[in-house]
Amino acid sequence: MKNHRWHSSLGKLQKTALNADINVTPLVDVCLVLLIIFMVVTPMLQKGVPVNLPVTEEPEKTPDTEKQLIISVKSDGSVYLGSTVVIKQQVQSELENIHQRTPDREIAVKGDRLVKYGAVLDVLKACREVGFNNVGLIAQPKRSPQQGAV
Amino acid sequence: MQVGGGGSLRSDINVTPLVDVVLVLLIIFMVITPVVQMGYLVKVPPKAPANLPPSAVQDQIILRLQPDKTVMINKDTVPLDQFPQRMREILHGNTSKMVFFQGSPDVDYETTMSFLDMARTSGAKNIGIIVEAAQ
Repeated sequence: MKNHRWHSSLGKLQKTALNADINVTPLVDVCLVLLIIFMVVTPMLQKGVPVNLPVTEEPEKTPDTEKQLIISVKSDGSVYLGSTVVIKQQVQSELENIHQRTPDREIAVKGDRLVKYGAVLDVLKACREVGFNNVGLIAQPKRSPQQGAV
Repeated sequence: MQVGGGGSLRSDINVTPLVDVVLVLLIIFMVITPVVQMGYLVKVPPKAPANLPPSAVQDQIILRLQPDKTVMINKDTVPLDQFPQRMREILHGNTSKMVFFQGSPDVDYETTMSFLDMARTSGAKNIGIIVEAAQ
């Protein structure tokens, strides 16, 4: 990168060397920032609490949106709303509160594969009583051996 | 940046390898990140009104998964291996593809989900979960 300057707007006439280098500094800046953002965000992506999702043949996509409320049922039967543990008897009243504030929340139930269906059924029952009628039951497709908890 | 007379200092770092590494890392992270959430969208229907027309009740398809892992389609017991075929026969020509599922609370969640998966791949596009215990 030689420092020959163009001496006028009609530089064509006077230039001695073309500066053909791209200025990569902004590119590196942006890439590094993106990299750091991804590195920071990736571990936080596991919404709710980690559970071993049931493995099934071909689940459909249930995209996680901002509105989604994740209810996790761990293998010991404990229930989590988002990432806070909730006593079983209080699940319905907690959901009631949420439904009153934001009735359009989408519910995603992440049950542990080892849990009894009855534990998940209790959560579904609470959802119905409260008025959440559309629920996503989260599973893990068989083909991709992805991270255990998503 | 002309410091001395005539010549110029070249103070640039060669960033090309850095950019290489960073871009590769960036791509790796971008590929790993969108682990799409997969699952089954089901409905948890509210309590049926008491004055429901009987025809609506008669057309319902109710699948029951028993604790011994046998399946009941309405009142017929069906072996699990014949279930997908029976399901396709029943749902053939059924426009709503709506089935109701009543699972046993004592069955593993994974077994239940595998069954739901089987029901869905056999054509039951709309699945409603019955939360009341089996009579």
